[in-house]
Amino acid sequence: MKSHCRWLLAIGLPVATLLAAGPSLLTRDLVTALFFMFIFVTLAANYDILGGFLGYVNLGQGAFFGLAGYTTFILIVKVTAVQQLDPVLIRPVAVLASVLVTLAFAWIFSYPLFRLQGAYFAIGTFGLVMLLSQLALNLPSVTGGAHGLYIPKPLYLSLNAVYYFGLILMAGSLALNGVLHQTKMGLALKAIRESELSAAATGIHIFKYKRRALVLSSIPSGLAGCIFVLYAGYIDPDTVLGHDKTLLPVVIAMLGGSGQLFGPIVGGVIFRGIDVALKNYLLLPIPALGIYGLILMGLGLFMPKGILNRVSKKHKE
Amino acid sequence: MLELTDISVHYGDLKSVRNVSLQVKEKEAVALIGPNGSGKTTTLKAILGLVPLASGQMRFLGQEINSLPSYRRVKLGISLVAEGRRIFPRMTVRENLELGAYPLGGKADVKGQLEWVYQFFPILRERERQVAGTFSGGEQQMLAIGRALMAKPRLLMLDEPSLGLAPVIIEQLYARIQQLKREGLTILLVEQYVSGALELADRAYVLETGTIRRDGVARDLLEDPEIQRSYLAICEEGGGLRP
Amino acid sequence: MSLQIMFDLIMSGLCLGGIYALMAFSLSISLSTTRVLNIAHGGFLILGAALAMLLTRYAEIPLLYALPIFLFSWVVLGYLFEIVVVRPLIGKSPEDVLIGSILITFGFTMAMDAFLSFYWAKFVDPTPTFSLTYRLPPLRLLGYTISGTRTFIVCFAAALILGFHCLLKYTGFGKAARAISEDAEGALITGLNPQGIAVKVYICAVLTAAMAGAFYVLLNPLAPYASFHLTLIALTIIVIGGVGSLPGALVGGVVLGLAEVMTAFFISPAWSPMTYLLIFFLVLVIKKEGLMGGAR
Repeated sequence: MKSHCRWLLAIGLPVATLLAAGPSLLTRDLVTALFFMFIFVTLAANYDILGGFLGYVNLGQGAFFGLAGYTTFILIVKVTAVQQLDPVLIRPVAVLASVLVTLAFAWIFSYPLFRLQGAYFAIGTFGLVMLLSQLALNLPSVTGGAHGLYIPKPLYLSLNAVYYFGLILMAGSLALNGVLHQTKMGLALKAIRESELSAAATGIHIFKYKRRALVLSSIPSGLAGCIFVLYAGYIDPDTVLGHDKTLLPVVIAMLGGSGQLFGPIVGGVIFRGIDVALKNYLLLPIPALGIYGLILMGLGLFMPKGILNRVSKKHKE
Repeated sequence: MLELTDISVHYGDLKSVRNVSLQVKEKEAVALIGPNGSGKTTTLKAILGLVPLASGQMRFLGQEINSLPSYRRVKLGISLVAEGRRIFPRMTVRENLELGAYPLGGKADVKGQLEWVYQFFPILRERERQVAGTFSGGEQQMLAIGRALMAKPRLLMLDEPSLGLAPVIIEQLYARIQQLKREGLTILLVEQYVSGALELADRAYVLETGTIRRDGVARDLLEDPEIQRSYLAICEEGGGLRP
Repeated sequence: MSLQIMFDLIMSGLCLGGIYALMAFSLSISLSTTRVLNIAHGGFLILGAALAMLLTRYAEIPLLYALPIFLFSWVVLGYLFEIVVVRPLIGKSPEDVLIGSILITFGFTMAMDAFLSFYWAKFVDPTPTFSLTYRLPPLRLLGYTISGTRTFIVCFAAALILGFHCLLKYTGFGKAARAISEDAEGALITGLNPQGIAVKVYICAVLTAAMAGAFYVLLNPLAPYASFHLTLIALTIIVIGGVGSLPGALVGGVVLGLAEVMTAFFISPAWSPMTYLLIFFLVLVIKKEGLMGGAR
């Protein structure tokens, strides 16, 4: 255990300082790439609350991301259309409202969703994303339909700002998972994962914990959605509810190792690496999503528990 | 006919069966007795390949069967009447029995085999079209045995056939098993109904916490005071309980 | 609201419903015999539509030859798919099966969708959509016109469903598949070979799905990325009708088909793709007992 901690500090401390100083040291491109990575790792870490602790594969994590993003934009666009508000005030208010809406959404939908288990649950959560995506397309007066919405430039968040927000969100999400391991809720979730029947027999209110897990995971993901759209200044169904926001967090979490604290980071880094390599260096006539799909298949066939779990298993033997 | 040499079965970290060796000779009836959780069911499951062996060897009719998938072993002639009957509740009696002949492939004389089983358990013929799930425990047990017999087994394994049945039914059942033995079928019987098992069997093994404690001729074990005390609830003062 | 329009609507609904029922049932049977939820199932429909279009419109192979090529391809695909994707999962612990099956089948769908649209756009048509145009002459019944194409589809779907029913009820293979669905371990004990059955089931499932896909695009065009939608539609029907149940799939399919057609007509075509999603969540809220075991 001790050597573990030493390794962690040896690598972690310089990396943390580098990240903290980020924007002043690194190129704009790198900062953007890191920002994206923060977002994905946040989503992956939040996914892992259900995926790693509870053992439920939630393919709809992106729903929270997209819903929060849309709510923020809709509020801003609708309100600024009615009256000119103080730009300093409107963004935090919109973000707060979005998070609340996302939270409520998670709360409400936990009822139908948790009637499902296993793979049904997985594809059911995917249905959630499709539902939101279809709604976004079919209500153009509210959401701008396929064309999307724009917000005025002064309301944008700068790259540096979102970089730090992203970093805090990521660190917070990872810390949340770490803390969850120690709490009663974490224990309950793991018990439910082991055996729902036994857990119910010991008096754990199963549905309440599941719902709490879903709601908890929706909050940082929702925040991530808000800052993402405020940086981009633009939203449409594809950018926030597309396959990459919904599926990649799952891929990353699973790649790194579901249930492992640093799993999302390992997965996120590797993934960013592959992504950057594909887009800039290995210009192959192969679609990126296709490669991600193959990676998923490979994971499922050879390393379903993820990298860190494989490594720690080897250490045990 | 069946030879288990030093087999072990692990459920994760739990060593359910440890270094068990036993033999069943042709036309013999062998009983495997022991308390709950001693690994008897696991041993039968291992023989059929439902659980993997951690170590050891199994031979049937001289052939090593360790790496054979379950359906192959059934084809070779091992049939199991599992604990809790394990019939297909939503299918009819006839369908259940027909499935029993599936391993025999196209060559099967299904009708002939069916006739034989019906003669053995006439009640199955009566209830041919009835859905199996509506049967009583004893009837389901007969169906389960009938289905196992449809595969023309060389070795019939029974896992606690008496479980959950009324004493009268158990007697009828054992009479049937006795008849199968007389007709030359080799039998491996796992039971908690020790007295019945020991009366039926030629030889017996006592399995406790995963290992063989005792073995020998069934008659001798039946009269053994230690066995009587542990499994037959017969006290020294005489006049104890008989299951 | 004339009777003719009502007729048309019902015919369309039945047509769509039949296709949906076939799609749902093939997924349902593959699910109940292998305990693996194949998320890629919707993709088989897309592939079916794509191949049908390729053979008839682009390669312009006459129907007599195209049909066997079509059918044979799916036998091959079903076999390969079972071996590569499903077989590694059979017999593993439920947790491993869950994660593995989601990763593998989901990854497969993603990859297949991406590759299909990419290369189709590159070599065939920059805006990939699949559709077939075989118009059969309309029929006249009691003074009303009934679409010939739709009638053909409904009859064919009904025949296939009937065929499935007979397969399950009367053949050894069908009984074995039912047995495995009921009790996997019991099936092993009885001496059934789960892998042999799984291969045959998958071949049937892929064949049926591909045919359903080809029928679908006789009515409406499909885009490559519709795979997930179709799988979810199939799942909605399974949720309504129950896993492994043929009558359930039929009822669920027809209900959904009619609902979609009615929504498109009475509300707006834009909302009809959402119908199944709403029904899905509604059924989940209403159905108290949830789903039985299944793909855990």
